[in-house]
Amino acid sequence: MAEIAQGDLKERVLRALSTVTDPELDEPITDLGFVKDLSVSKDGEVSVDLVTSTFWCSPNFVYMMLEEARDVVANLPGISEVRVRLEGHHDADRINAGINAGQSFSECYESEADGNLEALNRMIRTRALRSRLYSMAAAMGRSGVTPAQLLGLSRSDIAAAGTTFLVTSGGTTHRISDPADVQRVSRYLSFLDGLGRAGGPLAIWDLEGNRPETADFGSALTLGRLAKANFSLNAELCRALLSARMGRESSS
Amino acid sequence: MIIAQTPDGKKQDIFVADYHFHIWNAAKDNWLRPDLAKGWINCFYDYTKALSPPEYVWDWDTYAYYGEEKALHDVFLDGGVDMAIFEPQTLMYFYHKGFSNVDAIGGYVTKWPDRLVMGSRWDPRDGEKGKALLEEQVKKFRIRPFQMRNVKLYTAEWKEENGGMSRGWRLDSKEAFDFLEKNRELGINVQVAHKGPTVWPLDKDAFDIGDVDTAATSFPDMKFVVTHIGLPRLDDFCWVATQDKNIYAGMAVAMAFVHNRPRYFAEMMANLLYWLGPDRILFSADYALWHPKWIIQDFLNFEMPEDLKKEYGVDLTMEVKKKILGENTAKVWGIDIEQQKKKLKNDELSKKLHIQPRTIKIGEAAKKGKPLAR
Repeated sequence: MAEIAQGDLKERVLRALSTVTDPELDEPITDLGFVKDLSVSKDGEVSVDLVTSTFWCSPNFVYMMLEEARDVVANLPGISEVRVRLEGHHDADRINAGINAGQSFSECYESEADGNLEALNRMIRTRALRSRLYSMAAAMGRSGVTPAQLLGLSRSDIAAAGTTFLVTSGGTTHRISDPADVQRVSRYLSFLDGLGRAGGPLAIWDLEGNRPETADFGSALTLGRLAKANFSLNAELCRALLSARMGRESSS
Repeated sequence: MIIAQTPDGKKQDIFVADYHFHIWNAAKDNWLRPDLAKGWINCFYDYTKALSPPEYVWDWDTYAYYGEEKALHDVFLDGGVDMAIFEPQTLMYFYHKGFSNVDAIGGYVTKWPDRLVMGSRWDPRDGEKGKALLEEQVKKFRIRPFQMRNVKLYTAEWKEENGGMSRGWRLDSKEAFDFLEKNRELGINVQVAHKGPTVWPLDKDAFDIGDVDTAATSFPDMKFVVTHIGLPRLDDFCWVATQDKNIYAGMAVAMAFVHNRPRYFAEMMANLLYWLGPDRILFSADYALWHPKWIIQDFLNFEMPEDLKKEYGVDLTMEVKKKILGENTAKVWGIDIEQQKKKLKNDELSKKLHIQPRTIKIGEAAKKGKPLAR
């Protein structure tokens, strides 16, 4: 019985880790292959080993990712202790010490940092929002909802129906059923829900929940498209680099 | 020189200039701080392995130090590149003699001044001493009109300073602007900006290219090449370059996606052409990260997918490819292509290596559905 419970706990820890994204890539760390090792003891002690695609990844983004990984696991019921360990990074010792002592980034880096990571976090999350908005709008377009119609929709005009989404616009119901498009819509909605904006307009342009400018929505979407291209290029490069790195390290 | 031969039998000459070329030394006896020096070259090696056709990946020791002879052979003879421009990266905190230092580069350029182009570097933290050195280099190496016209500005260079360690600098600081003034006075009008993963203070975005924007606006007569197209901030880069017409997209790293990540390459090119147009994109294989032989072949054979042509309203025609491969860089550096072509038919290196124009057949491999031959 104890073994089953432990397996279940490990499953829950992994699921929690899958909600942590690399902020610069807007993809879950579990999909990127950053979770190298995970162990869960029967007393609820969790140890997570993380690796990044290069030895040089920016300490600030790495810190954000590790803090979040530590916190989502610590918040699970049944966890007594969490230890997060970064491997093969130029500042690993310092970052590991800081994260496991519960220090903020500025406490960890003292005079080398002017402040905490809030501004950086907002900058990168705004990009993620816009990238996801573009992908959602493209999915909507393929289902017959024009950008102009999209601007008039509220969050409540779209609802999950099995493995599809139903969108009500101007008295007409549109169904989004292509799996890739369903995924695009779902990623945008989970971002909105994460902002706690379940009640307002569906299309928003910043973290405060403001709508995009109506007259300029077209050019806003080309910016969203660019943000999306940037995330997907970076993520693909990081996957390729991590794979090359793992190959090299396992053969040496 | 490349001769592109299309299926209809037509041939055309393509002049190729690579704006970002290196002969580095990362051999173990050059490691000053072994963890960092090793971490640096291993990271490069992973980049190479991640995006190269496997038969172009060398053993680690060759990669760490391949030297002048191999570089010239690979790039000019096998690759068909006409001219290659050095972008030094000194990394004196990591390597005893630097990773690719300016003195060594000066030696190569003096030997092959029509093929290799001298670029230097500076660091605003070097102050007056740095400016004096730059002046000396211009006197010594301006041996052709296009020589000593560029500097590589690596803003994430670590440096010992006042007993502590400084992790980088910004291009919009007063000290950097003093150096840009010096560049203007010396006619060094191409600034090759390169972002790295650390910059002080560490809570800020090290990849933010806002400082390049400020500098480009303040020095409108100068040209700013943003290397690896601002990645991982392609979006910022395109936005800034749309406003500052003296900002150029340097394709080092980005170019290598063409072989085994063609869809990503297509989306990247579609965005660059949409935001910047075809006149401000500069080719590089970033040798020895990647070999120009396959990169040029794949690039010439690359076709923009129909859906992206339609969505973005852009195309990657042979005319555009010619601009990217050499014409744009020639304009930025003030190289007269026709004059240079004549010169390179019979320059010292051509004689030594028996360099002949390299013919690349366009369209055939793709049509047959076969992978591109080496």
